Amino acid sequence: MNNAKHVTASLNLFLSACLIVASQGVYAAIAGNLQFVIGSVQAANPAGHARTLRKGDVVNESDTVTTAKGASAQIKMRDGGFIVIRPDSQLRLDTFVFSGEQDGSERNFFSLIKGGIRAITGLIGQKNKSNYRISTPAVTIGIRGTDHEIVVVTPGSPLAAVAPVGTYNKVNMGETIMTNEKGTISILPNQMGFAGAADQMPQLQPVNLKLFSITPPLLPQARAGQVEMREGAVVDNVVQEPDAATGIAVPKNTLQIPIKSHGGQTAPGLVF
Amino acid sequence: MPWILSCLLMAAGAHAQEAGQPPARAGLPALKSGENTTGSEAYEKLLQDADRLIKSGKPDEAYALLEPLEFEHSGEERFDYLIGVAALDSGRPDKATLALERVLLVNPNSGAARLDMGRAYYQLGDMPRAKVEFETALQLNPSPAAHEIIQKYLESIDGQEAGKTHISGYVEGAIGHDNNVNNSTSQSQIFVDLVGANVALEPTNVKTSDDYYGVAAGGEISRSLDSMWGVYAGADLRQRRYSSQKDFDLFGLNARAGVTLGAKADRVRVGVVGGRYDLGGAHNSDASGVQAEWQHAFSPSNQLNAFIQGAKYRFADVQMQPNDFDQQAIGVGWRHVLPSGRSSLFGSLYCGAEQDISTIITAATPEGGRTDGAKQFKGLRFGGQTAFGERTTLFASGGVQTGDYSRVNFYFLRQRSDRLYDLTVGANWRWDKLWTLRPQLNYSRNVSNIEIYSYDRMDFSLTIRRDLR
Repeated sequence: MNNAKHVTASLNLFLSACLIVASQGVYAAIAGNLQFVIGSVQAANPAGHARTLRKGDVVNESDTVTTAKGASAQIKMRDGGFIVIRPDSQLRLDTFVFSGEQDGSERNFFSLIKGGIRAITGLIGQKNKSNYRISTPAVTIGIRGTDHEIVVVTPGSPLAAVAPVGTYNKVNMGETIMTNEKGTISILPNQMGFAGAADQMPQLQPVNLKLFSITPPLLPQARAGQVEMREGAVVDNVVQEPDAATGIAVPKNTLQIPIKSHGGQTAPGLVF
Repeated sequence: MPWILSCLLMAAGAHAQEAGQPPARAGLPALKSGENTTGSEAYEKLLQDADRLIKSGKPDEAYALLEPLEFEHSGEERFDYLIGVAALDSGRPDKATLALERVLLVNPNSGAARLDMGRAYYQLGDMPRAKVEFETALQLNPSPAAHEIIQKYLESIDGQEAGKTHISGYVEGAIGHDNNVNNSTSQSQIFVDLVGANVALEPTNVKTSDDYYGVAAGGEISRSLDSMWGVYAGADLRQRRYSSQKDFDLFGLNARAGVTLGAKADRVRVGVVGGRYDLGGAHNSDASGVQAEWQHAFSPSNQLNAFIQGAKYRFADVQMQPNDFDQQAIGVGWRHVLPSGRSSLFGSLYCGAEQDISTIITAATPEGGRTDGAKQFKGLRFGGQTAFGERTTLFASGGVQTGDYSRVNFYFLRQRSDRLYDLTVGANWRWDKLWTLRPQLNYSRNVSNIEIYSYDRMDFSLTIRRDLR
């Protein structure tokens, strides 16, 4: 009886161990959820199983997310960050580890294989900058608390018709670092860095609007409506120039008129 | 062993199922089927509340209301537009671009979203993309009011473009009536303490009214050297000719040049200024100096200005040269755009000093300097403007300035102390993109403890202006 109990207990322990090992083997950490999807967006796991993504679906660590031409997705990451995947792009979520705290174990490593993304960092990378990075064929991009956009132009892709092959990194807020075997450069807001290949030094270039125009063109259909200034719009000060007499400078009255008594040339002249 | 394999598959399956659900932590909103509130009364009320909050100038509250639902309702054009403008107006342009991008992906022809997307990029300092969105919005049949705002943004963007030269100018013509062309007292006789008797004043020193016409023109050229530095130079000339009081015809030429530094929220402008003024066809005085101004935008609707200036004022006529003085002033101002977006208010405080520097000795100035000596002044100004309809802006401003002098006046045996009040009201009616008609009324009143310096003045003018861009 005791032997039977011992065998059962051992079997249970073995089974539990198997379950734990199995679960660790097939478990892929949830990286985030799709907040917005338009067009055809797919995710494939490392085993090559692909699934179509819809709003609310999860993306996991090790997934490769692919957007079709004209498709786009916004992923809300579990650390509060955002990833926007542009049309005709491919992004692999290499490593995503987040326990809910910045305890040093958190990691967010992506690889942008082609196309474009916008990344707004969340908690990962806030404290430990080296725990967040994005790799492309030409360069590794690190951050210092940021909102930035990356485009990877691959040979033969439609983007190759408008810009040389390589990685383009435009910063909206914060700062990023582009590093490859040739060196490192820092990119500040509204600057764009470019690295043609891993053996080419990254450099600053003027922002290429052909790569970073992200809103779609107007549709040719009839435009019945009219653009109105919406009620309540806070109009920036730059266009609120004062119309008149609202400056803050000291009022000037430099014209002083001589004040004379009648027959003012009497001696001495009474010039007040 | 098959049961072990089954267990392993079950374990894997359990994880696959888990992976198919939204996360239960990390702050993501729960998304359960059947709980989508789209179309419900409560949801409709929430959108209306958010809209009302934005329109009443509480975009922060609107954003706080909408943000928890963003995950659930992303992709709904109305929701995305509301949270986009709530983010934009509450100083979150980065968040605004995310939401407005969704609107434009769903509806590329949303003119409102194009305009606000342009503003979001503008606030992020991303001028090339702001320009693209504003130019696209111009293709979407903007109303005259929206067209004007878009043009102002585009002009501002052009002015900031590195390596690009921006030139603007204007010409004006005016007619008007001035009831005190010489800023003089209405009394023809003044009691002079020194002589203990009334003294009759020259007619030129007694309040006199006249009609006038005037012309003005000006321009500025600026060039952005890079994203931070720029240079500018400009000039304005102004001439007023009276119908009969030719002794008081005015001519003024002011010029300025300097550098600008900064972008987005902070801008500094440092430069030199100079001017020449004629009175009655004769050279009256010259001015030259330096000034610096700092602008800081706390938010799109709140801007702080601070300035410091120093200038020399020198008179051409020898008889007037005892009045030469140096002036220093410092001030701070605030401009606030009201929630309607169509009105703004401003207020400013300033103070300064004038040193009388002449070495000319006269009976009234045995030690040189001015009859009344040095001056300490301080003042405040306030005002505002509001759009009235699509083509008209009403404006008003007022101010008070105190001036206290250091020396006992030789003739009046007391230290001069003035209070200068002024009020201006008017309207700008733009019947065309470049043409403006401006009726304006200005009233000023100086109250002095020395009667000869007291006066009041009313000036009404009608000005037509052509902007040159």
